[in-house]
Amino acid sequence: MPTYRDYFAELKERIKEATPQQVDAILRSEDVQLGDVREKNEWDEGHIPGAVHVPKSYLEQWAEDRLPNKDKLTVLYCAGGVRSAMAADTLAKLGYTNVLSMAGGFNRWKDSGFRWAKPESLTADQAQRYSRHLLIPEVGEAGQHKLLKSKALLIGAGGLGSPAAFYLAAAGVGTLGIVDSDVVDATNLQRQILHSTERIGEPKADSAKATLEAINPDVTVIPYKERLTSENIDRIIGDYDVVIDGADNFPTRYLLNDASIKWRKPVVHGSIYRFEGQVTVFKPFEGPCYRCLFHQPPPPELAPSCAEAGVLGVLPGVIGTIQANEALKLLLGIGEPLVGRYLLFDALDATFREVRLRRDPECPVCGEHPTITEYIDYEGFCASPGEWLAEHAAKAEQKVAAPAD
Amino acid sequence: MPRVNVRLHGVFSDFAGGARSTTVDASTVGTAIDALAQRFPSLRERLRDEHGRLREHIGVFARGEEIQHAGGESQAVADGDTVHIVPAMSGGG
Repeated sequence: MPTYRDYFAELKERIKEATPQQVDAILRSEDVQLGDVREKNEWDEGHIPGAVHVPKSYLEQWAEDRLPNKDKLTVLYCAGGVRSAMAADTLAKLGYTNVLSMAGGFNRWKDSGFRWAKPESLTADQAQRYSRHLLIPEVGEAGQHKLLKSKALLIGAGGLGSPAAFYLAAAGVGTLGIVDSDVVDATNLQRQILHSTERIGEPKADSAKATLEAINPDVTVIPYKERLTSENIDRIIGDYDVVIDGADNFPTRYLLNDASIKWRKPVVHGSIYRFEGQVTVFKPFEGPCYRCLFHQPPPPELAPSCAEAGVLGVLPGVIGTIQANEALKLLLGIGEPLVGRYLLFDALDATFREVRLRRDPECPVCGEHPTITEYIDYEGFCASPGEWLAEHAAKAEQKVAAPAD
Repeated sequence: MPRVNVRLHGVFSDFAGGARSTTVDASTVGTAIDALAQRFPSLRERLRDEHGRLREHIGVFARGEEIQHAGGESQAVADGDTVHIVPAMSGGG
């Protein structure tokens, strides 16, 4: 009857090992997959930077997600080199062609003076709250930390801002700024799910804060009970990683666009009309901006607001949640955001259509020769864009014709 | 002459008697827009300015591309293609 000692000796014949010195040299010179097969409590105490956590107890189930390339050199380590040797044997059975186990494990690695890092760890409550995120390799604990440190700014706590803010708060985006100067009105409650009947008359930004912080105590909500203007936008936007545009008017949308170019902040754009919604991501200088798409705002009769034209209550729910989805992808750095892609939703047909958007080299803000280089009179521009542009061009010509001494 | 679908998004359907899509005979995007404007005269001045140019607040897409980056109004269209006419919308709900 073979003993454990016999079994392990025979297994070691089948696998390849490397010393910490050899592994260090490999990590510095080659593109490898590095897997830590220890348990979570050991991983939390420190690991080699760049390693992915594939505990031996879940090795067979998780390996193909976390160590996706079976032909790439894969280096495994545990605490002392035993579990990683067994794990290397298992990976070979799963079809991995080039696996090394680090002899002496993490203990010898640390004793040899090589670099290691102790990860930030979630509290027990956070691990439970975000457990469904932690199970997704694309998010995991590192991604959840990223979200907790992230800051998202929502323009408007209305139809679009409500579902977007709800999901960003639930996901654990650590700081949410909410810009809204309105108060809750009874007509809002058919779709603006952040608010409630007893909050009629309260500032929307305060109502949003109360709702969102009740969902998730990890989230800090910063209310801005003011209308976004050329005077305050620089103070507000600079702190945030991503902006979710749920504004209800063109002057704010053009102002936000120009500020996002100045500050290089991605804007997740959403807009709605009755049964239709539009979503895209304007990522400065990597894709088009709002002005590349719409050089000018429409005249008022072609741009009725929800208050004038009406809107199906659930429509902002669909569009706002897509905005939250895009914001989370941007914050996590995963997936294919809607940059240069315009998603058009029709609630009556229940169809999504996608068309391509491109940067306009002649865009007055992000083009090759920008002509709008500071904030403008957005109310004036949107009230009469043709007239405003003609005056702007004339002033620019005067400046060229009569340069300052 | 190719049969082309024209999809009117947002407020534009209000100026076409509520029609959200229609079919026209046209060989280019420009002639499709003209055929549309002939069928629904209220749309004409909403789509083109006094010089006959497409207005700046409209996105026109054919074959999945914005026409300003794909040959403009002279872009050819084929049987079964869809031209999308999309207004800027400001609604945030």
